[in-house]
Amino acid sequence: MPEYVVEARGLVKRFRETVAVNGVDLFVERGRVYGALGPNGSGKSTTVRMLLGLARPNEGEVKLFGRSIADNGPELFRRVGAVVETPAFVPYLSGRDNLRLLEKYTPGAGERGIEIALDRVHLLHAAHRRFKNYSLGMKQRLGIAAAILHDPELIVLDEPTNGLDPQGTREVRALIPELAAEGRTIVLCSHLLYEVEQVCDAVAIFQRGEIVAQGDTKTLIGTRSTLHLRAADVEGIAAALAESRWKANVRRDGDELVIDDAGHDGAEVNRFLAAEGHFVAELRQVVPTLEDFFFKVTDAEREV
Amino acid sequence: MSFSTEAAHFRDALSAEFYKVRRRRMTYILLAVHCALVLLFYFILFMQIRDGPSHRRNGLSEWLALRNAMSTLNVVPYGFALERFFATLVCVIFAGTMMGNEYDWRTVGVVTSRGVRRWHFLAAKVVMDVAFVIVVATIGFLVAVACSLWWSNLYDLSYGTWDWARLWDIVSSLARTVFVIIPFVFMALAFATTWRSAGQAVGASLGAYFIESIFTGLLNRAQDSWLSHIPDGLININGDAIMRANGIFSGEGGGGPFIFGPGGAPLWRAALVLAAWIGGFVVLVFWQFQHRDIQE
Repeated sequence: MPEYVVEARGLVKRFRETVAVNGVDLFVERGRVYGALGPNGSGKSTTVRMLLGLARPNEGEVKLFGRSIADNGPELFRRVGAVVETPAFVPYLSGRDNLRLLEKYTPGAGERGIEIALDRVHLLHAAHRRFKNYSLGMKQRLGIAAAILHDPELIVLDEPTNGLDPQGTREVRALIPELAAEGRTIVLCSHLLYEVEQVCDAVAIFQRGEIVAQGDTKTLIGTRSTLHLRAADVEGIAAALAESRWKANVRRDGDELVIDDAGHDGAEVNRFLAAEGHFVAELRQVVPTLEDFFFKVTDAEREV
Repeated sequence: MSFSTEAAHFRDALSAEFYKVRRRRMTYILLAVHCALVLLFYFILFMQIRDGPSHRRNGLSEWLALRNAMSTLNVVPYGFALERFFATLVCVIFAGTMMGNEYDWRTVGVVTSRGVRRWHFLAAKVVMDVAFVIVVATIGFLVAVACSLWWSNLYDLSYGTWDWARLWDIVSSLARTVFVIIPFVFMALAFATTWRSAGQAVGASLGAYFIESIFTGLLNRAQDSWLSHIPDGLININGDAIMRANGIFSGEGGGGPFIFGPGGAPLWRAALVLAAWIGGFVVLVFWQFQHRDIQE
């Protein structure tokens, strides 16, 4: 039986007539980097707000570390670090003083902990500057520093690379697996497919307030790659392949031929076609990505 | 959770709130503005007195009454009457922005999502608001005392005697003044929580403060109607009754601006009405903050 750090069952959140979240079930195992993926307005941020007690669900229940937040919320939230939407801090205080303020609310880290957190997000050089003078990227870094300041077991990051330059984005993406390697569970909300695929080992895809797919990232994406062929004589090649062992997997995609689940058979396909007197102009293996999977499930939902 | 843990967490929330207030420039600006207003008021009256009595009927007695009202002898009723007006303005802005800015900056969510109990967060603000009212009223009163000393020296007026009875009079008058200011401060806190905005809270509370007096004046004209009883339940008229306990000016010719004559609502009823308003705002603000979403 897996140990769930986050268990959300049947979450529903309505804002007057609008149903922002509709029956979401979310399960995050300990030690995982869990991605909540979806377009803007798909309900992932509202779900995160319910997980953190910032919004109360109209229906459903949230458990953190196996206990309901309805009864033990504040006690459980002390074990959570979060950045929800754009990081929010007191504008007239410096970055360091903002962390001091949070440390006063939930003591434990001390001055040394503050310096370590700032160093970890490469913000020591600007720690004395007022928050209102920070760039968006610096605000994001401070948000992450605040989230890890009190050494939480669960970290919730909502669009943590938003506004970061490429270098900063890379650093944050590198930091997430580091935090996970320390035994923490991470929930990462993002609309960046590549980001989620890169750092998350499990994913939930949100669409119009519902989770339309959820599970292990690799399992969802699949390991079976496809082979794409371009040639002048597409029809002839299609006819030849119809007599081959790949016949069940061949399909036409525009001016290309695609052979599903044959990514590793490139050389063999080429040899077969050459022997049949057909020569391809281009032969390439396409490995499935989260993007493919995402659009597959969200397009299917849209059609429904 | 044990009582000691709960108390420790509340102490942490208080410490954090005090840190914010201490590091906030607005705190010092409001204190400076308050002192400047008191100084300015004494200065304007000084200019008025310096010009001598007017040639109107009772001009001389009014001039003498105003001059005497501003002496150190009368600093307790007069200074605190000034305080009641200016400190209310300053403290309403302080309370409204203190809570409203947390919503405007979205910092309230950051704090509560870290496990700070909502009522700890709010109660710390309530404590800081009351403390700020006391500090503002005390500092403003000290400025008024300084002005009155200068005034008494200038016109060779009585300083009064400084003994324990007078000190007690000052402390009890301070307490009464704070009690009269607090309903509007908690009103600002309640509005800031309701509308999740500093600007709306300050605007509406100050609006209520000024409009209530106009409203009361209009309703009092409806002498025999039930409408004339409505002001009995409002804040300002009962605040006036409490402030009368700080001392009234009964000399001929009135006492100039902010000095109360005799009459008004009984003290016990005024205290009850103001306590009801304070309690109502506190219940409203805690109920809303506990039960509503932090952010929509």
